[in-house]
Amino acid sequence: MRRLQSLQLAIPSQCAASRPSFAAARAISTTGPAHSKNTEWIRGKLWKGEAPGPADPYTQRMEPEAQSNLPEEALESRPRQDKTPAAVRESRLTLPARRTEATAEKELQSSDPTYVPATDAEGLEEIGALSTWWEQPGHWGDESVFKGFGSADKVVEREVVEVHLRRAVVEALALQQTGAFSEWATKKWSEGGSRDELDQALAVQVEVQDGKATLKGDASSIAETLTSESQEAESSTIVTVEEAKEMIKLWDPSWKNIALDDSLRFALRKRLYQLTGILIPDAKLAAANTAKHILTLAARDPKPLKLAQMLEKRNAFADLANVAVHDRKIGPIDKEVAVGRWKVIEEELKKRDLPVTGYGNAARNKERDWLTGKI
Amino acid sequence: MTVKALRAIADGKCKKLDLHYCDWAGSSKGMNGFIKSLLPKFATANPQIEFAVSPRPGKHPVIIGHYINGRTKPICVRNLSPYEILQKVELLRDASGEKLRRTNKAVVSTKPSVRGIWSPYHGKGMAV
Repeated sequence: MRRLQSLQLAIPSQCAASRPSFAAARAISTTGPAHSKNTEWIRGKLWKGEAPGPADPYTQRMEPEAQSNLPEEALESRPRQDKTPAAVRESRLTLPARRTEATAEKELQSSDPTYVPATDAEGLEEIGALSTWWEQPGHWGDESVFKGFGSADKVVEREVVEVHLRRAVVEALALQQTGAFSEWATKKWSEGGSRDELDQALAVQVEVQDGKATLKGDASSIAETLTSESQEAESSTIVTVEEAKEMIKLWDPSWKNIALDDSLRFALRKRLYQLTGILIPDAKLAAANTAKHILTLAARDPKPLKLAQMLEKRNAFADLANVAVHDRKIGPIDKEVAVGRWKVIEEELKKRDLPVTGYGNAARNKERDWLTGKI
Repeated sequence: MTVKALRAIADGKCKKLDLHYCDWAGSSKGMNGFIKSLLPKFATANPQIEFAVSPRPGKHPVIIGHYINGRTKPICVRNLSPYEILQKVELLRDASGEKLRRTNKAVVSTKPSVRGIWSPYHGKGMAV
């Protein structure tokens, strides 16, 4: 009870009295203010005195708080903003124009009395239907095709990956030596798809002592080539596997022991992705402390040969006339071909306008879908 | 298609062996080993049999023997070792291709009636 009394004190009692009754403001009300008189006595009993709040909460509306901390400019009604998604607004594609509506004839006549409505469509620009938008020239061509950062054709051979990794190491060290590394670590380096740039980078010697690497050669020209704007030199394979093997033999294998800090690790990963298309996962990259580890993560073992390929390579059944090795499954057509019946079947099917393979226009077996619960 | 005329000349009754394997599945491991290591020797020793090696991806390895009586005999060789498979291949090579039957009589006759098979088109006919 004491709690109720304190509540009574806390609530200002005059707040209800100052507000106008909502029911009074309405023209027609089903609940008149007289109705609240009947309940006044019980409210008084409950609150032990004057009851706070409106006598009838259903007909008396609480006034909204008009106070706001916002400046006046913000409170003024702003014009409706363009609700186009940011991705659409910043798109590099030529998108169809937004729908606009011409002024109605009545409104136009009031503003421009000389207006005469057109009776035919002569002189109107033809823009074509929306369904053929992407077929029109300039809307979807080579310029609109996505070009990724990583190389599109992935290098598979371990030796070639090693050559590219060496190049990446040399380039990163060259940037470090010239002092441009911190600036260029996050930027896109020159693509370097030409053989000359590769040879230029590989001509430099890398000497590693206790994980610290130094370059012996022309580091500044490499850094210059990296930071210059590259011309698009499209060449898918600039090193063959045989060349890569020869190159690796000439290098001292100690270059792979170079210790990597975080910045160098990320630079190598990025450059390797750009050159070879191999992206090392973040979770695995954290464990790579030397260039050798990076190579282990990037290079994959070649796929094992299939049995038929292996037999062909071994020439196992070359001198045996009674053994036939097939490299793919022998299907029903192959069986017919083997006995010379397939050409007859094909001819007869064509004569009857039936599909030679597949079901033609006939729909799939719907009963099977019913049975398997797909429909 | 049967080749009855060759029955007397042919070395055996098995004319063809189909060997199916899968490159991926583990149950074909022994079969792949058999094809690589033992089949060349076996095929050289049995030139009268035609061997057809072909993959059947996603299926257990199978050897199917084709016989001159037109019948076939398939054996599934999943999870078998190459030498166990060699035994199965020898079994198929030595089989006649006939259905397996219990022989509890001393003589097996292909034509059990000495009078031959009755035919309504032969003889004088019967007055009903």
